[in-house]
Amino acid sequence: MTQGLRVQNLTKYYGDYKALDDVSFAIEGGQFVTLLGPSGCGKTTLLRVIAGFLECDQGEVYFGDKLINDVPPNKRDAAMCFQSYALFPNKNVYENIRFGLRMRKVPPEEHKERVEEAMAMVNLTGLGERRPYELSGGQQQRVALARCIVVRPQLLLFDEPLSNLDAKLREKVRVEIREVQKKLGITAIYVTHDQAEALAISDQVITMSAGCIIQNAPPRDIYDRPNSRFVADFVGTANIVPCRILERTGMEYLVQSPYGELRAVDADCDLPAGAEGYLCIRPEDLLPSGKGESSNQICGAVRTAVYMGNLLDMFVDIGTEQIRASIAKDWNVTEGEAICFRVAPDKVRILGG
Amino acid sequence: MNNRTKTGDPRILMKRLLRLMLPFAFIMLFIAWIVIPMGYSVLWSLVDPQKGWNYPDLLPKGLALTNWEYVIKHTKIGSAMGNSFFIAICTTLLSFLFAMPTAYALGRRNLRGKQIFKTAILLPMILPGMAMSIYVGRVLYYMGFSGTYTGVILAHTLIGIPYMLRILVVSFESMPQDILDAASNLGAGPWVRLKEVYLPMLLPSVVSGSIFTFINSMEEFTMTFIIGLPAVKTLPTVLFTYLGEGFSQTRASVVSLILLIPNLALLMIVERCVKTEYMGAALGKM
Ligand SMILES: Nc1ncnc2c1ncn2[C@@H]1O[C@H](COP(=O)(O)OP(=O)(O)OP(=O)(O)O)[C@@H](O)[C@H]1O
Ligand SMILES: [Mg+2]
Repeated sequence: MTQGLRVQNLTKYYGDYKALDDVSFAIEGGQFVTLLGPSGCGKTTLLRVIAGFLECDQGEVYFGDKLINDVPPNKRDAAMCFQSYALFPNKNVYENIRFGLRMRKVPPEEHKERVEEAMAMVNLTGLGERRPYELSGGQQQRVALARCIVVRPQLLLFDEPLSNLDAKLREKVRVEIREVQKKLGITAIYVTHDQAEALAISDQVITMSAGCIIQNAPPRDIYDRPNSRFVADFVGTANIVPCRILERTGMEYLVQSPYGELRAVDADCDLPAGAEGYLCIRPEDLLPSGKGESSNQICGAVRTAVYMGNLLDMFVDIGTEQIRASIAKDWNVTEGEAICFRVAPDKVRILGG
Repeated sequence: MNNRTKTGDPRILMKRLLRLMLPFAFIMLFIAWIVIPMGYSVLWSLVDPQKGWNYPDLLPKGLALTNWEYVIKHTKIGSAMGNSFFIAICTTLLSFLFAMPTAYALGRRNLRGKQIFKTAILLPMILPGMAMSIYVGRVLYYMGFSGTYTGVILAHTLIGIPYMLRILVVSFESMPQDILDAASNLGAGPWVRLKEVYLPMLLPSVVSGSIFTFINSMEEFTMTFIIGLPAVKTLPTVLFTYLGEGFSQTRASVVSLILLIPNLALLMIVERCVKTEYMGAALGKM
């Protein structure tokens, strides 16, 4: 098992612009961690600081227990897959991928086998002789991926390595990345915009916004127990409306919201009775039920309903607000029809700001 | 449908005509500008002095190699050409060695006053050649380099550096940082980065910078004349001084054609040897 990674209080300025704002987290050796966040929130900047291309203005980076702030990038045992691919234009695919092996003094007789293995993993077999400019965008991206995986470093940094691949290939390569990473016990940080991918692949998801870490938790917690409006909204879809807490006993709440009075059970919330907050319900947690058949109901009129194949996606007018619900595909609803949903209290989440 | 009804439109026809005519017009212009003078030059150099080529005739009455023989025999052109090549090669190498680190600093480092320095370095290109030559001649004279190859090479280098530098700076500036980072990320130290990343990507610029410097040195007259004579003789000094003795159109043509030969040869060699296609492709596809 390889060493873990720890960063502490990282701050990075570009001129006056604060691209990283007091970022701290720790990754155990062999863990696969995803960085998730909107465009421009500082993901690439963070990877560049970890890889050593950028010096941070404050803070420390540790590989294992070793402080590596002053170690030059070519001496850090980390390999990065660049968002811009950054292939060497004058080298062919084979030489691009082999570069890291040569630099790391891997015995030459191993090169061929390892390069070919990496090429097969990303479906590039047979393209070894091509130059980067003779490849499609997706193929270039796969070369970039193979080039960093082939060196089997302590730490792998992926900056949106699959963004240019079609859905099928994306899934295949994603699974293979994960397998290799597990087999070799490499610690990995993986940047993606795709939250489904983030949830599917990682041990831990770090959500970022504007240079700050908002939540750092396992995928299940990120989705089911978001700690803020931002995370709830950014990861998956969620119905989020303002609410006021009427009563609170322990972790049971009664809240007033545009969706009506609802009961909620939320262990993470620390808002007192009388406080304002936000209420968050996932579309798939809304279950159709006859009016008055159960407690904790939300009722309205169907505005639109779209058959998505695997489910029925609909927007329902509730007073002036709307709620989005994803229900089983066998339901038949017509637009304008009155409909009621029930929602389990522990699926209603109450969030501060 | 719409397209079909429009084909008869005179404006569309006009556009099509223009699209055909424009390249044609440029080719004609090029011919008028380059090929015709060259052709006449060749003809002039081949005019038979016994028969001459006078006003109403479109072509000379007879052709002969007399002028070529005369010029070659009377000017020791062989050794002058050797000198010229030697000086031009040294100049190019020296300019390259000086320009490389400077261009790196200007192109990839954030230096204060970079802009001023970049402009200053172009000065030798704008200053009048004669003024420069006299001044540089003085300096080199005091340094004891007058009439030596070293002096001439130094002077040529001074003129060549701005060209080399300008091209290299732009090329350094446009190199994607990510590619360099990728190299160090994979474990490459400074030497490997220079050899395997910088140089191949700079190659097209190095080549064009070298061509400029080389040709400039081959054709430099004033500097060589003021600093090098009498000991150092290059193609231009030999040929131009010779021209001064008694100007004749026919022999001047021979001279100008001889001056052209090394440059043409160089261009052809370079065209063959250097493939620059990948550069553009690498920078364009991101
Ligand atoms: N060299 C730079 N100079 C100034 N500002 C920069 C520089 N590089 C990045 N930034 C800014 O820093 C912020 C973070 O950039 P970064 O590239 O880390 O974003 P990102 O999270 O990777 O975004 P994306 O998902 O679009 O790749 C952005 O607002 C960007 O404009
Ligand atoms: Mg990025």
